[in-house]
Amino acid sequence: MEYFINIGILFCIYAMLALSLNMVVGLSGLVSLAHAAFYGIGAYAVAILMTAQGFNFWGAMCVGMLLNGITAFIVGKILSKFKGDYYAIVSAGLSVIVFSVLLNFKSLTKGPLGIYGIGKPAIAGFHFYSSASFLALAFLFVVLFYALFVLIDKSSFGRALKSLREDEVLTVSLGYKTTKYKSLIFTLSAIMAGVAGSFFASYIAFIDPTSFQLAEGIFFFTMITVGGLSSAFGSVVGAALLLTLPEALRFLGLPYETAAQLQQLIYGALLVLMMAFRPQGLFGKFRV
Amino acid sequence: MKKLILILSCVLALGACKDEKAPKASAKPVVKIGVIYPMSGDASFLGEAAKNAVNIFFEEFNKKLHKFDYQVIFEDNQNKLAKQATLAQKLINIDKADVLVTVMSNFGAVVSPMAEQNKVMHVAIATDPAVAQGKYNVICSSNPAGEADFLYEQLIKHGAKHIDVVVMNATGSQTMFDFFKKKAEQEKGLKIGQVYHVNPDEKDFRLMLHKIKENQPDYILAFLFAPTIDVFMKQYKDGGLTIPVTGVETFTYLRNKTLSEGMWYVDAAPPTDEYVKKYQIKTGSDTTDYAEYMDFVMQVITFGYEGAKTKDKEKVISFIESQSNQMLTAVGKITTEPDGVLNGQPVLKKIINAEPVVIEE
Repeated sequence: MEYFINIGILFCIYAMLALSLNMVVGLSGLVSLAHAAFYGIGAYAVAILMTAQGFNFWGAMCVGMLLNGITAFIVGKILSKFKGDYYAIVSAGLSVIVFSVLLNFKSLTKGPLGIYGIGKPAIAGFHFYSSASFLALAFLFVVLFYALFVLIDKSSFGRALKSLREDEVLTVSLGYKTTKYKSLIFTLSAIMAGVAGSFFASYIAFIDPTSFQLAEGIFFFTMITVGGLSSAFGSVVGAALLLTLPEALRFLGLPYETAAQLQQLIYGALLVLMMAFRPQGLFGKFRV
Repeated sequence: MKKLILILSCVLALGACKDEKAPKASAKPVVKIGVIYPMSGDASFLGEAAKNAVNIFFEEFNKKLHKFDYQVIFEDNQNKLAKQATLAQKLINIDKADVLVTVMSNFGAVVSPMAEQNKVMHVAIATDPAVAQGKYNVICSSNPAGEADFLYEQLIKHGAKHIDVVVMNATGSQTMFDFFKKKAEQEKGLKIGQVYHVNPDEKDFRLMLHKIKENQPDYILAFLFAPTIDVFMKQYKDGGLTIPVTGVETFTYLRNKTLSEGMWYVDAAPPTDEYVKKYQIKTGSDTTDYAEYMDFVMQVITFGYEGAKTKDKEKVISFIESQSNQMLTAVGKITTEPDGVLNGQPVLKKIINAEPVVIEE
């Protein structure tokens, strides 16, 4: 049971990341590869503040969200001047910068040695030590993020974002300040990624910079592409699929000498097949 | 769309319904060992070596009389922390593993609290003693503190007064350097000049080597791993430097050892000559790629279970902690420290005719 609960917790963390990233990529059409950076900032804020400064989880998470908000607002201002491939390249650059800072700012992050003993959240004396209670808490945040996604999707703000996605020039001509919209959604998405990072750090209880590399950002991007862009349900399905598929392959009883390689081969082949048959993703409403 | 969902559902269902690898019927009680290693990706050479080591170990072990049967289950963590946690849970709860084996301190650190919580024995190949904290965690270590002390003593013995350091931003090398720095600060007999930090993917050291050449330290301490050390030493030779390079495990995995001809270094409890020969015969490989540490781990586990004559994990660990200094492992004799730290003994080696030769133990 614990194994499935563990998968459930990781699903919740990835679902939070997928929902937040899909707001930028799906709703707004901005190909952001910076998500691993914000995920990392959120995780490190919790890790540092809880282990070295005596913060509780919620306080540390709020600081992480604030830090992500400020960083994303500043970076978002710069990013909003770019479009398409350029936006992706610049956002990938941010991811590389943050990874380098996490790896090299040893006095703060402990560099490659990582940070141990990160605590669990507590509310009014109740500690979320058990995996089941942690899963319930993480799931609550997924529901909140899902609701926020749907709310934005149906709001005038969401419609402006979708208009920007379809035709930025036309949207500007209608009087919308697109840079403001781009910057706002990017900041909101980064704050949400910070929450996912906080949960990850607390659950794993140990973090090092390897979990927040650009490759992770690409993995998050794959989740929403497979699940479907601009769809809250697609984000959740994408996260679930990319998490459970490799786990299911572990039970195929492949010969152990080649099991790891075969599992990755099958996993890769399934993704290629999926993109070939359904390029817009399972529940996608938009294609990059 | 429907076809696609059908295919995916079939894969998921097939995976979920597949019957677990049933242990072979045996009169002896079975000890399940779950090994979590990187089996694919950049660090897959570690997983390959670990598989070889397990096969070689049990090929010999099964010839002897033993009280338990050992079943080893390998899982690939893809070098990812999140995977490590999931796999530990799978091995504990689905496979009902009695022992978990992990490699590298950061991956051991993820499993360590889980082992405590689930009362499962965890043997880690790690350098950080924090991984060994708690009742159920044991680390098989290359003894970084001992190696750092030994390196310091050797530098003083070789008349070093001023050194420059090149250290990779990786857990093992950083831990080693931290121990060395601490020792140097305590003893005050050696001046650490410039410290250059390099990222694991860095490939151009020419500017750094030029600066080192200008500084003229007595030694260059290189805490680098393969394949970076190969690139570093090639550029060192091309740059015409003559300042000797040394460190811990510096040339152990250097493929072209002619680049470090005549240089000495501290090696971390290296594989015994007997083990290296055995490994070469069985696998045809020139390098053991840390296989000796997996052999060390398997020996510790089987030694504990066979010696304690019970599957009670606390008794097994207690037996290991109290008796394992009697073992002769693939890395030679070991020492046991409190709280489950089993250490190999460092040696001094010199590259002579492109071969590492032990010159002091």
